[in-house]
Amino acid sequence: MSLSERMRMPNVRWLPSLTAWAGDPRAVVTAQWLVRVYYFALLYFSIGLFRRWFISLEPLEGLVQFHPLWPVAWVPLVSLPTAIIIVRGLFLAGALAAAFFPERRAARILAAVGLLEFVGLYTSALLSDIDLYVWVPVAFLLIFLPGGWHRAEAITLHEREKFLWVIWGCQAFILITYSMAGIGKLYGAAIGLWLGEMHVFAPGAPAVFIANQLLYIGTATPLGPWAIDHPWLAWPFFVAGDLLQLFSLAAAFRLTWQRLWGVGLILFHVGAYLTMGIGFSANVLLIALFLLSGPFRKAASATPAANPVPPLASRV
Amino acid sequence: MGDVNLHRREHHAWAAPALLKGFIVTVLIAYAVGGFLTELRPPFRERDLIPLFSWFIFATVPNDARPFAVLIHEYDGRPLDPPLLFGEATGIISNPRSSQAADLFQRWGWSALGGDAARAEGLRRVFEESFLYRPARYELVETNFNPVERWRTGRYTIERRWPYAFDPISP
Repeated sequence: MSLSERMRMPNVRWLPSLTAWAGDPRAVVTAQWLVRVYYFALLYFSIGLFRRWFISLEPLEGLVQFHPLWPVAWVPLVSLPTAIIIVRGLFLAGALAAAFFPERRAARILAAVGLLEFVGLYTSALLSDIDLYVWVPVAFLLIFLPGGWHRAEAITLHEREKFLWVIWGCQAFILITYSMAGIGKLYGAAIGLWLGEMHVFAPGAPAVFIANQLLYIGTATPLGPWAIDHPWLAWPFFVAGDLLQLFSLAAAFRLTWQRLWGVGLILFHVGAYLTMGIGFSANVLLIALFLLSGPFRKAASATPAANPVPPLASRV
Repeated sequence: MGDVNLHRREHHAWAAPALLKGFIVTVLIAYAVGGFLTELRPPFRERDLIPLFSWFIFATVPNDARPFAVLIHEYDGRPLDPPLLFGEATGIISNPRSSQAADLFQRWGWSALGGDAARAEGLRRVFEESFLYRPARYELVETNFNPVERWRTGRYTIERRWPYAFDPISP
């Protein structure tokens, strides 16, 4: 079999086929808007977090010298206030550039680097905040959008397919983090069982998690005390949430499941907020964008597989 | 020749999505494997290799929680009897519920327990400069409690098990 023939075959059979979706104008337009909104949201974070960031870092001058994470390993070479100005400026400039010129790869690279530097500096300051951790690989992957993606009518079917593959990659990145969290819980449960200790799937586990978190944040949440007092009622929701996380990656391969899975994950975060006070709002926005509003929807294409020669393809 | 060029263009057109797919799948696998491997690194933020992260959140049940905490004996010249944990010193400390402070205590405690005196001393200085603001007499201790019981009754025990003497300090 020649290389050409091998390339014509689906090289990884278990991956979904996006060829038909690439011919669906509504799917492509949805994906275009998705990218734009992603960078608008990044711009919002780059400005919206200013105050929080300012307060977080200003009183902690000298703190970064203790353990700057690798993206900000250069910080000890300059003073911390200078580093803050550089990182703040880079994040704002990158987000601004990508929000106005998302079609320019240089702007997307700048946005990804600015975000990485921001997250690196932010988390180097002892903040247990991983809200933007998933935004980093998504920003990295969006660098690889094909040129001219913003004018769907001017690019070939294959370029549009490449564009959709990058979007699919972003979705898979979001989903794989949940599956990794689910695997972590399985691993933790196995260790717990091995040691004869309480594990995450035990009926009493939700009460312990919630009580520990409420002690940590020092305040009650709307449903936290109730869940501690009624562990058997809270338990099925926790197990369902754990299983939802564990199998999240399946939604990357079953495109029609994505909206439903997105709703499930958002409800999971709402539940975590109401019981444990953990919001993870940036991730909720990513889920809403890439899964709830993703391009692979039946509404966007009634029968993509039955439409192998899409209308846009003929025009191109 | 024309046919060859056409063939090359066609081949390129098919190859590009395949290469991109391969790249995306490779990056995804590398992200997952790399993330899991970060579990082998030291605890706390030093474990993170952004964007690599294991996502092992709430994986083990803290049934027998043993977090480190600061026990304050005297603050701004005023003795506290009984001594108060930093996190419970509402009305005395400006930000007792700071998650940064709580994280710092864990790093500090593990550094002290591991015999890394220099790092422990550095974190002590950060604590005093960033969270105390007033002269105080305090000590770093290990608390021990069942979270549900503590939530309901407020009960916890204090343990002191340092590999080296850690005297209360007056900044």
